[in-house]
Amino acid sequence: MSQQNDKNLLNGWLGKFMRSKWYPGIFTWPAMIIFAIIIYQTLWGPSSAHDNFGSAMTWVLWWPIIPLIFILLGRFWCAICPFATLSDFVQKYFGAQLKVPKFLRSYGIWIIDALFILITWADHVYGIVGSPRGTGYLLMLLFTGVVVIGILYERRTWCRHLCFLGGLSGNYSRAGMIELRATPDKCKICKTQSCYKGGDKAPGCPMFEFPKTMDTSAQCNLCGYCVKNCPNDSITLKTRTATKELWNIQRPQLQESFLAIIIMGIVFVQNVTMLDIWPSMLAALESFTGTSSYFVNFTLAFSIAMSLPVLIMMLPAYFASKSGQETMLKNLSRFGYAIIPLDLAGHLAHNLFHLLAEGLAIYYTAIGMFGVEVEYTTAAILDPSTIQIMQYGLVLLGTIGSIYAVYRIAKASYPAGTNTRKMILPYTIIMIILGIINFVLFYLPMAHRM
Amino acid sequence: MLIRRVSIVVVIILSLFPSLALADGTHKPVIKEPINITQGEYEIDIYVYPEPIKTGKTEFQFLIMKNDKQIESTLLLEYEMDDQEHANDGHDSHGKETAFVGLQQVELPFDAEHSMHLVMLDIPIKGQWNFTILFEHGADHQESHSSNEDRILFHLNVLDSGPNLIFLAMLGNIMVLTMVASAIIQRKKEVEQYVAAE
Repeated sequence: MSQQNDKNLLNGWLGKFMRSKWYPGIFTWPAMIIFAIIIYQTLWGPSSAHDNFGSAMTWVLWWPIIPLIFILLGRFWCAICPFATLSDFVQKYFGAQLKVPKFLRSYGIWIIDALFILITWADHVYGIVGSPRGTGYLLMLLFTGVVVIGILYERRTWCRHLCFLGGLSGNYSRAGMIELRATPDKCKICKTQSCYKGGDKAPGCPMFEFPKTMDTSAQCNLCGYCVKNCPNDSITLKTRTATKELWNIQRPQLQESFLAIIIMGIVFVQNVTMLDIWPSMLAALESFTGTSSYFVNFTLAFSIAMSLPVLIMMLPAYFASKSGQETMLKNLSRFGYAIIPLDLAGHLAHNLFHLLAEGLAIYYTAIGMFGVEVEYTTAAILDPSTIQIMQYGLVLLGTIGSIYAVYRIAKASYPAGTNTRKMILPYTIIMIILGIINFVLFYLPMAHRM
Repeated sequence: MLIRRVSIVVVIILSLFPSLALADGTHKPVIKEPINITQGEYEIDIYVYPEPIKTGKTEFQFLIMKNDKQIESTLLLEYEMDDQEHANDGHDSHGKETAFVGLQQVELPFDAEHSMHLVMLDIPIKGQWNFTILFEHGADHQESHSSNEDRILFHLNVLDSGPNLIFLAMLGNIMVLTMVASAIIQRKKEVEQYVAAE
């Protein structure tokens, strides 16, 4: 629970707004309309990403600002996500309301991890980001998954257990600056538990969370249902220091830590393949493998990039297990979360390039839908050197954030008096190494997406 | 209850969509006017399906006349994406040059049944494509020819074929089947509840 700032944002106009019928619909329906346009444009619009509004909106606007939303507003995107709206809609008219199967509850995050890796791999091998059709097919596959799961299972099972973005947002939201919690003293007297079960004003928590015992922002999508339903005015919405939740995770999960580490690998892959040196790296791989098949050579590079952060993070975990304090996996589960600030920084910095160096493409492709053709040579909002300085700044902040998270996790996880230096030092060195790798990747010139 | 019945009707209508999409795929349109090319002694009528040409598999039919006499020997066909078209395409999001299809060469056999030269080509990218039909000179070729073959060059504009409708229809089918399955599950639950209540 946040100690720094006790001001409950729900006491003012925000609380009134979230309790009203306008929230979150006032955001949800415009998002749905824009999403429909994006689907149409990616599938039936111009086949060149350069001219496609759907591609521009998805990869130049939405993907870059998503991590920013997670830092500032937690998992708010999930409250207005068109897929969530779609899931609720099909569930209302066709829902079978089956309970979530045990395997999804137990292994859902692993499925999310696998999906994230698969989609990133498929993007490079088959072309998703650079191909409006590819983007459209991906969105339609997700659309189908959402509809199927929404029809069969209760609440937002897709969002909670299967959405690859949900896994990412869960991790990033832990580093976010906003938290929704209940007031335990008020919950003690509650007879209805409407926050979870639902009430007259809104359904129960779609993310299967029980606010009374909720101690993480990872699953809370700020839909406001509990705020509307709570008869005791127990729900609070407060700001907090960014990354604070990472310092004291009560139940570290290996699959969540693994996702956090894997995201670093994905940032590496996304950066490396957009560098000018990538063709020469590819050529080197071709001579190593003896084949010019991009499928084979990229898969090899991808595997290396994915494995690198995992292996690096396993080193201190291994030594920690040798010292007898805890098992390797438990140690990795605990400290894996510390990489999230660097993940966020790398993700933001990479996509900042696309947003600021190609941002005007959103405007040009939008007017292009109405027949106004503009042959543009640059879609940049800022010049490359300014963007690069912003990227360095973000990587530096992310590295510091991760190092501090290592320190705080070590302090919070072991009894007072434990010598945590043995734990802190190796992980700190690793965060510095990862920070330097990111720095170098952003130092090298990057190609455009549009 | 009414909403459920309406939904079932909508579901049935939606399930027709994949069949329509498949039917559209097999229906051959009326053959339109051929593209006519006249160059020196040669006169060529080109029929293409689909017309206009779109990315993917395209059938070409050539009626080739030389000095008003139809040619029936096997010829060679070369085709490639236009250089300038590729230069305008830029790069994809990972810095790779967008695929440029270099010179391809295929045999152009004469089909006796159709009395035409037939070939099926797979054109992967939209834009301007350059085609060349090669006519090898026979034993009676004249010394004045500067090369061993005559070349007839023509350009065709290829449009984007749009999304794969079969794939989308398949996804639609999956959603439809799920709706049907859900209706069955709900019905089963109702029956069980009724039996339990009894």
